Amino acid sequence: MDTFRMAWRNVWRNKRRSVVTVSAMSLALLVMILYTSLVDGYIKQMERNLLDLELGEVQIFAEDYRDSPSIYKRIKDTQKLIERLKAQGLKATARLLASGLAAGGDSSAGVSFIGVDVKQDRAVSLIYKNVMDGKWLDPAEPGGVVIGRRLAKNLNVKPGDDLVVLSQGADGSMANELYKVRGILRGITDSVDRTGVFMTADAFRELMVVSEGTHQIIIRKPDEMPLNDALLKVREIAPGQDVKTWRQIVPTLASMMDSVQSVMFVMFMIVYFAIAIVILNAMLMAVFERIREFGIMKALGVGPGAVLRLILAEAAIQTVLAVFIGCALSIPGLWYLTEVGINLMSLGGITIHGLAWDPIWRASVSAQSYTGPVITLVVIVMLAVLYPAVKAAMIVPVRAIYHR
Amino acid sequence: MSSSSLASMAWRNLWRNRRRTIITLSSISFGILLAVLFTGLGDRTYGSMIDLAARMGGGHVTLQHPGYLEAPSIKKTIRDVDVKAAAALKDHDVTHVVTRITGFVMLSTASNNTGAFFMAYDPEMETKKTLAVLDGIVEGNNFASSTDSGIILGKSLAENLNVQMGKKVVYTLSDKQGEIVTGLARVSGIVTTGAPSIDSGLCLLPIDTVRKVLGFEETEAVQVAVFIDDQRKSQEVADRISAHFDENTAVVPWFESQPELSAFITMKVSGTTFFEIIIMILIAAGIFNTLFVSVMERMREFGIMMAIGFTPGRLFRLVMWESLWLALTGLVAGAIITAWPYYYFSTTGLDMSAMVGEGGANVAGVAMDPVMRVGIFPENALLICFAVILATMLSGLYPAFKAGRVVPVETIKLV
Amino acid sequence: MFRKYLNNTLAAVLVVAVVFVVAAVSGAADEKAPDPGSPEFPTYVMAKIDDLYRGLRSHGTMQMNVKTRHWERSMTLESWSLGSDYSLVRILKPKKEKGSATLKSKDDLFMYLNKTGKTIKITSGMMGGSWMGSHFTNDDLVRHTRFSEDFKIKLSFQGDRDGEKVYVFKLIPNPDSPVVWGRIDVTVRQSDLQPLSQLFYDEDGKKVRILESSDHQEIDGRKMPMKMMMRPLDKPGEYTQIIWKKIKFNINLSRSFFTLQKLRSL
Repeated sequence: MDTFRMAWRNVWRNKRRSVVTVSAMSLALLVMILYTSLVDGYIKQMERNLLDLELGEVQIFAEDYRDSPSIYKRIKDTQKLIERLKAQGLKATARLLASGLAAGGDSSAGVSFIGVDVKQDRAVSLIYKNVMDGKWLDPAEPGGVVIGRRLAKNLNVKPGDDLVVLSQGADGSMANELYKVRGILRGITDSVDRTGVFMTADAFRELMVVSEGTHQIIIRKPDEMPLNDALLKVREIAPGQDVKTWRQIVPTLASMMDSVQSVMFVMFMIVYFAIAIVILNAMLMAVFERIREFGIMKALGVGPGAVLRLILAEAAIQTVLAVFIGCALSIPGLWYLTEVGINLMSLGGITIHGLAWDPIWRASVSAQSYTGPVITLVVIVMLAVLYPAVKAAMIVPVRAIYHR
Repeated sequence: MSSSSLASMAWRNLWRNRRRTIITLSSISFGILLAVLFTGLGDRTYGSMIDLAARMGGGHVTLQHPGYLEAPSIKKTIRDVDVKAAAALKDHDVTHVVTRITGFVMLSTASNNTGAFFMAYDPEMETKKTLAVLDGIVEGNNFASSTDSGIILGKSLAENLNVQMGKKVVYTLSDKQGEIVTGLARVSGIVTTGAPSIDSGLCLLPIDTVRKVLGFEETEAVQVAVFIDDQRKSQEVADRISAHFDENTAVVPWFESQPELSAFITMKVSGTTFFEIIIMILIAAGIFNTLFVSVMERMREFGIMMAIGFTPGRLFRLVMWESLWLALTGLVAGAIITAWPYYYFSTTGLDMSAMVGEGGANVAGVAMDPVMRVGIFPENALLICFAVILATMLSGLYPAFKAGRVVPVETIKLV
Repeated sequence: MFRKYLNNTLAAVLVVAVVFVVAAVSGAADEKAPDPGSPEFPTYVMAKIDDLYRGLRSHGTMQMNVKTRHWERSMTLESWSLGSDYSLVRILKPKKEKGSATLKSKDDLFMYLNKTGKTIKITSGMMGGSWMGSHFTNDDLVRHTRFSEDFKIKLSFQGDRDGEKVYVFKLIPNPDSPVVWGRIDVTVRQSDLQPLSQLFYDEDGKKVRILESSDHQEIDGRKMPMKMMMRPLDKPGEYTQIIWKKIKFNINLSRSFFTLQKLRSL
């Protein structure tokens, strides 16, 4: 008997039952696809939030700088280092760091100066996108600075206001300068919010009398490169310097992210499990309500193997249909979730572990958003249908015909 | 036929197909288990975080100068704090009220000087229920009195200043006129919390000593912290007690003074709610499938029932009763399978320190306990029950409707 | 923030640099001075140091050389002072900083920055910062502890040190005085009670820094050390040295001189 053709006819014979079953499967698939991409999106976003802004994947410091920061502990030949990193596929930007005092109006506060090569920085840190009020730095206007939002609040300054800074230059001279506040940042990290004053590298060098060398190099690796490979490459290029991955620099943050990932994974598994139950439910129904039918088939001489194959074939057809429908339906859903996302709250930017979070939850779509769920659906369906199919195949015809 | 016999008929119908019913009941109870555990986790965790934030900051509700929230400064004080504190304490939801002076201070020792944040309090009025940091004193003790001459430092702060117990620390402050005033204290305690912002940035002083140095009045302070036992009542308590004060005193609930924590919690709660909705949808889908199939396969039976006098309305109600029974039994089953896991997780909890680290995660400056426990608010538990019943009943609507629409002659022909 | 420079009484330092009131009027031993053996002697000597600038009006130019591990600098400063409560110090050299100035008016400290033309009030948070890049802190200028009141003073040594006859006073801060030091040893020349050195210890008895005065000259009836050197003992090789080039006393100067407007308009 042509199993497939019979299966096909069976599927269409009882439209209602098939519709219910295929709908259950499609819904399940849809949910799986959407949820997978949401979870992916959440994790990627977390990483983005952490690494895109100011952390990078690997950082270089002069030896001993992190333990006791000093303007004198610098990385030499920074540009050469950056060129060599670029050759290895690693994007890098250098920063100049110092501390001092800033005053606006009649309040003053301790601040951290961060000198930035504006063009180079764009490729590595997304901080330039996070100006809440005003504009980011412009190398053509070295007299403009961008400050953290808490600092702005404490000093009571807004874009356009003056900011006086005072510090001690590397040559011992009193460094003082008047800058214009170009922009105020969103919540980035706790220390940037409270003390950050970003200026162009040129402005920094002039203020602090540091003509060469930098204090920190932030490096981004391409997505495919494993973190450890990146670390080894950087160590090779910058021997003698303090080279660390972001996990080593902020280990509590790393473990927090890992724990969130685990939690998401657990929730993910739970959703899949719930889906499995739904499918199981559907499959069980689908077979058991036709017990009589199978009983008659067997009474007519159809062997158990054939019954089994028939049921599996029907399940397969329904699955394929469900896959098409589910995938088709997922397209508008995914579009919405990637473009608009789910706004988890209407406030703007908060800090966890000192870092800012985008409250909009976006999905992240890739081939895996589809392959995973589809394969899972197939597996679940096959497993779910196996038990009732075997039962049906083994049935004693008389018993089945009277089954009610 | 009477309603009660309709109900018992529905009940019996359910159990005619045991396997199917049991499968459905499992899905419902599983859904309940998940919902209860997740909501309970959230309720307890976020509740603890809020309570902890209150204990580390200005209580669940803070009384302070109206301009303080916008731009904190030691110049912005409130007066007659004893009267205010007494007024707040009268409220039946309020458990503790304490007075504080906080601000920035410059600490100097022979080796070094550095800036820090200080909290001045009355050691006789406060315990770790109102000031969480007191729990972290690893060396030395709390102050003996509010006029003590000691100072308690965070561990890293003490190391930076290169001082140990008993050594001198000169502290410099700006008073209300902006004048610089100094005081001498000796290190009487060291605090470790694991949160770097506290360990390297916080020091504690006795409030009356600081009052004297700053030239404050005896009943002047920067804030009055009000603690309540159920953090969810913060807004209503704030509203109630603000009736006692004029516009010179701002009454600020925790989510206004700590908006970041509030935002974090809102976000997490939304995430959990979203997840629960997904679970509910899936369960409802399963239930729908079951009910629908069960109705469909009894079409003939319904046809016969109609032929012998059942009205469409009754058939509809019959199926709806089946749906209701499913829901109720599901709830009971759910309660049963949730009982032990809930008990376990509410007492022992899940120890996440392997993942999060000993100090716990740090959110908006508030550390989270690495052991996760559940503790669901009763209202949320009820909400879950209600949602389950609703979902199940809604799933039953269409099948019940179909049952009522049976045309006897047609269905009897069905095999 | 700034480099960690240790606390000192700048009032005692810059001020001690100028005059040590001897019974200079007569040039002979002070008839009011108690006998070195008597118990009032130590307090008397310290009180003289504390009160050096009571009513003193001065105007002078000094050179300040600072050497740290990373740089070495020389600045020329012009200073006006009225007692120890008012002073105005202005940078003349190097050119880059010419015009920046510090104004002390009672307990308030202000800084005028030449480049920006802005004046900042030094708040408590900035007190730990170094004054004009030297080893002195802003806090040193505003300090008002008195040797004669906030310390227990003992004459611990009389005799020869490096070829000079000196008194060495051991000063222990009173338990309530806001002084970070554990002990200060003040060495004073026997002949004219001119200060020679102040040695600062922390509470564990470790020597933290030393202030040495030398090149004592008489100007306008006052005798003072023209050179002073502050050395942090935990940073070998570093020092701040102040050398007075010119100084005049009893000039026409009143409180109205020491204002913010003056600070900005100089």
